[in-house]
Amino acid sequence: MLRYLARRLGQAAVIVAIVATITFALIHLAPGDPFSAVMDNPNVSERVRATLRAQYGLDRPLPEQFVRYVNQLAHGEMGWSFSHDRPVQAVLATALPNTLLLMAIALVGSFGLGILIALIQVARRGSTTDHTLSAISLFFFSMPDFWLAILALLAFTYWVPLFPVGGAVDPVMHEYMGLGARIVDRLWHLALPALTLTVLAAPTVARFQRAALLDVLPADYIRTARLKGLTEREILRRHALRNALLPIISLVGLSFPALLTGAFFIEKIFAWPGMGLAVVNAIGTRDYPLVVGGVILGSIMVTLGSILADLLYVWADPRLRAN
Amino acid sequence: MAPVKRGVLLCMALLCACVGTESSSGKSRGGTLVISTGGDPDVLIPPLLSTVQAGQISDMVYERLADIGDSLNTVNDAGFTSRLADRWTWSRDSLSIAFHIDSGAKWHDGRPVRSSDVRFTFQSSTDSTLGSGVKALVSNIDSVTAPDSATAIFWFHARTPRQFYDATYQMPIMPEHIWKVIAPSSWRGSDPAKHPIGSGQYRFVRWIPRAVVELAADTANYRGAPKLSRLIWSIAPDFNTAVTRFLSGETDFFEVLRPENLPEVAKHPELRTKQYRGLAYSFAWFNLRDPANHSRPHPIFGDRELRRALTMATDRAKLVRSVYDSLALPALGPAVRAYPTTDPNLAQIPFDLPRARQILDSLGWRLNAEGVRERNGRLLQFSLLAASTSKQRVQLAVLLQEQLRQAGVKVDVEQLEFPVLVERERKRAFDAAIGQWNTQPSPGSIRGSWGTMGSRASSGTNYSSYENPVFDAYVDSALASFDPAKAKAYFTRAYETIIEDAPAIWLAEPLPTVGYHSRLQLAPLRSDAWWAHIPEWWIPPDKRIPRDNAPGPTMSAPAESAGKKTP
Amino acid sequence: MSGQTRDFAPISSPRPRESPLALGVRRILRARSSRAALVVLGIIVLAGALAPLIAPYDPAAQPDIVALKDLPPSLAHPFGTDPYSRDVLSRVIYGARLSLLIGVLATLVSLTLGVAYGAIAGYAGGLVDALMMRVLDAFLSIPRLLLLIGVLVAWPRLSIAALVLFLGFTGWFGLSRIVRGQVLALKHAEFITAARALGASRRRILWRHLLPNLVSPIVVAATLGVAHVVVLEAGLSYLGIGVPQPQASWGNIIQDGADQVAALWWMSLFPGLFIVFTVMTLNILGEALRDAYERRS
Repeated sequence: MLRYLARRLGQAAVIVAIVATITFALIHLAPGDPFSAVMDNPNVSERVRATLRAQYGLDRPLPEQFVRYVNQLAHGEMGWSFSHDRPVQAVLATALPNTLLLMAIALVGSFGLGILIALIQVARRGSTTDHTLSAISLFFFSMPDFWLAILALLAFTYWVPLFPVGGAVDPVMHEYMGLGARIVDRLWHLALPALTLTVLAAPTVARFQRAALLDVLPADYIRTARLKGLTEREILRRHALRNALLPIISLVGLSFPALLTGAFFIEKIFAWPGMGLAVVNAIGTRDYPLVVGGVILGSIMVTLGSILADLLYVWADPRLRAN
Repeated sequence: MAPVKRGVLLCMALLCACVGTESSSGKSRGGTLVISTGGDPDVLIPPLLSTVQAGQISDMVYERLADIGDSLNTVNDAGFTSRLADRWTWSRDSLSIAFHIDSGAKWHDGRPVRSSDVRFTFQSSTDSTLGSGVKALVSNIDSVTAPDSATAIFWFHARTPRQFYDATYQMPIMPEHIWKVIAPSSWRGSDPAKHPIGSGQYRFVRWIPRAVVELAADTANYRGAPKLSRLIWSIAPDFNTAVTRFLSGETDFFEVLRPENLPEVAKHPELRTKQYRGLAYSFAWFNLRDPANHSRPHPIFGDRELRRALTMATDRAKLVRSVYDSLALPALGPAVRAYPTTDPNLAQIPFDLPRARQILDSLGWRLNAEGVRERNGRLLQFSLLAASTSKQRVQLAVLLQEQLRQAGVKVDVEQLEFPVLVERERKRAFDAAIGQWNTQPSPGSIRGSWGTMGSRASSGTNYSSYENPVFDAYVDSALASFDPAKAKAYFTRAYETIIEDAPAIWLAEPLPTVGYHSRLQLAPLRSDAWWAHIPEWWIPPDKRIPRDNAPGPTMSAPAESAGKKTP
Repeated sequence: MSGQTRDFAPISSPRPRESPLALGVRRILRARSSRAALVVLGIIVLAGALAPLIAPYDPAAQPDIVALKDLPPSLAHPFGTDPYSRDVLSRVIYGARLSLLIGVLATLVSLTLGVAYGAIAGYAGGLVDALMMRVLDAFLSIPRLLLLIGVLVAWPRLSIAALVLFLGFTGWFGLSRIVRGQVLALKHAEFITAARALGASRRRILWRHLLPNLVSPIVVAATLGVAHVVVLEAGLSYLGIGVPQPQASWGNIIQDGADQVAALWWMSLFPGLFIVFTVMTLNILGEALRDAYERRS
């Protein structure tokens, strides 16, 4: 197990290195001087400019710049975000936990909801319920992320004002609330974006799990269980689900990119202060270092996520663990 | 408000009510004003700021020597009220004014305000390493001397009607002891820039970028404490959210309602609106210089006849009606109707599409197969920048794009965030852009945005690079004359000149409409700064809502704290 | 486990009894759901193709920017008008044209790149293959939207052609894996060795044996790929880095009405529904095709 982990981490390091090369190429292939946005900006102090010049060797030949770039990355330095007037890694470090929170809740919620829907569909396979749920699943699966978010915002903050209009906390009152009120305030602001992201991610899980369950059902051990006299429900619960859950774990790893992309739009529309909102805002301000930092961080997240999922898979499948 | 939130706040309010609130001199102190705004302040340093939000916050934290009167008179000192200076004396020859600093004036850190602070403020504002746009506006002031700690004397080059205005309006006073240790080129990112110390009636509390700016009443202020104990700017990521926060009751004030918001406001009985005469005008200005080589004229816009033709091809009245409905008038030119020196009947370039087409043809721009005009292999095509943060400016750009398409001009609209747009303009790296000036009370501010000086100086804001010595001469003559009728005549000539030269398509003069919660008792809204009298706004105790009674930050002076407890 | 991409597709005999195209079409026509999907998609595609003929107004025309702006749906304007008095129905129809065109062209670019990259990697094998796969993994680790944002922020003011290219450059990763798998599997198949022994050239092997087996995954990837690009382009236009004004794409129209979502609900609803239906039908068809090909083997 440990050797497997070490090997995967090694692969991940290679991947991140390649991503760094890609982003470096992106920075320098773009028209105009890549750092001019920062260097020519009067809002950036001379001290910062001098530091950047030293760190990235901006007047040096390209290969040397590349080496310095990778070196800086290895130390966690991602350049200067002039729109935030702080180092990029500082901006992302503050924003990342908010995105992770959203994604974590959506991950758990969407898998729970998706598996539930799949179970219902399989229990009544072929019936109208099955077909209707399939259609609804497909409908939500095909929806653009931002569209659902807009509709959700409209429906639940405007037509039926149940939730606050965006943000993570009440901008005015939060500082002055007691601990209990603060927790409630945070949860209230978290509810709608998390719910929306869950609804966006659930259909993939539902469709996948339904297919997985249907694949398993004809298997020999299921037939044996039926002959033994177990009810359909028990069969589903005891045998089918357990075996069909295994491929779900691999879906966890695969769902990270989609969750991250979904989080981007959700954060923009709900003004949720996460990594997605930071990058989307960086588009408007042409804060290129921040965008690139976001790309690298996103890739690291996805890579780590897939490693995690793979580890989970190996742990969960007794057949693999024996190896 | 969500039921749970309401419940929690109600409990807090009950607790506060049980403990008792402060009351003094009938009109009680207290209350919170939450202003809904769609933009972050750029920098809280008076000579450097350029956003409206930064100006509002700065005006609460910092003070000027004297404040302009509500009538916005800028000739001599009629109507001005004392602030940091409790009295002033003109010299015999009127070439100097001696201001006496109020002896009780203190900075928020406790140090007394001295005349050396005034001198320092002037020196910094005119220091070219700081690069402030104020320098161009105070060119008539030769120097400021401080013979003693309470007297600051302003020395002028020449006697002009605006001496007093120049000395007071342009420069909120900054504390020398804090800023002199930092080199001007490093002011922007410095620590004091993020925690400004001023002498105004509100102290700075906190600024969370893109989220909140909070000010608290300076209860020990030498001019007395303001009525409202807290000011909060709630910064929304976009206009829509800002309006929704206002409509939902999360905020109390919204400064720029659009026509489509008015029906919504009408549905809320606790909200009101108020309109006032504004000092802003918007335009689509052309870069008269070649972005690739500043010493050459722009390949398209260097031609005066072409610019006039483009103006002629635009139905400006319709444009303004479409975007603003009844909340704006078509702009006359680079001047607002609120100025007494503006002639409301200024001759305009008429809307005449056929004639515009004729002119373009005669200039050699012929329609090609795709319907775009061409001359010597160059297409009549340019990019028009608009600040993505202002939906109205984007709308103006898209409407303009279509109108000019009718004339065979291809316009590409590019949306940028406001600070990026300003950067591009500053570097003259643009073709055309939608802009808006919130002008100052003095019509002389036109020199900075359309005068030759504003084009040449590195800190000037004449990004269009319009330079016409005839225009400059008329403006200077107008500003030098003490006779209002003569001043108006000169300005009329100046405006006519620039309108004929068409360095921009003049678009709209908005009639600002604010929305506010009915419990707020407002003071008159000054045209140049609706926020100027915020220290006089108050909320009757019987109308207060829970948010008004929330405890302030611990920076309140001791006299205030008796009776108020944290729930 | 349907739904998962696999590196190694099962090896099939060199000459399938029925061409993949015929097989796919037959499968689609058999099920009711895919028949309906085909009809709906056909209508949308036809509407887009015939846009200049069937759109009631010029999508960029602003007939009366004062009196005709922001109108809710009516007989004269079934989908209402936007803040510039442009007819939304016409814009949605032209949007179908542009969005689908971008989808198809970008997918073509992706397919070409994916097949080329995968074939080269699989054929070359060894270190080259390993390196190419690592690079592929790197690209796969960056969410597509993020990669596109990174690219598009650097190149503002893009033409539609450039947008198509960039969309295409970011969508070939999954397919190249599948292609590589096929190539690897085939490389060692017996009939290939036999063919080589008989003196067949590499190109002939590629043409007669490899490509026919690739048709199925390519067709499936293409169908699903177009759906992805349509959604992606809508998202990019919504963020302001997609299709520029005044051209109409579905994402653009939603963006125009984004400021007043409640008041101008027709600008969010109709383009959104069109996107959903297009993607739904493409998904149904893509999955039907995938079922057809997988069942066969």
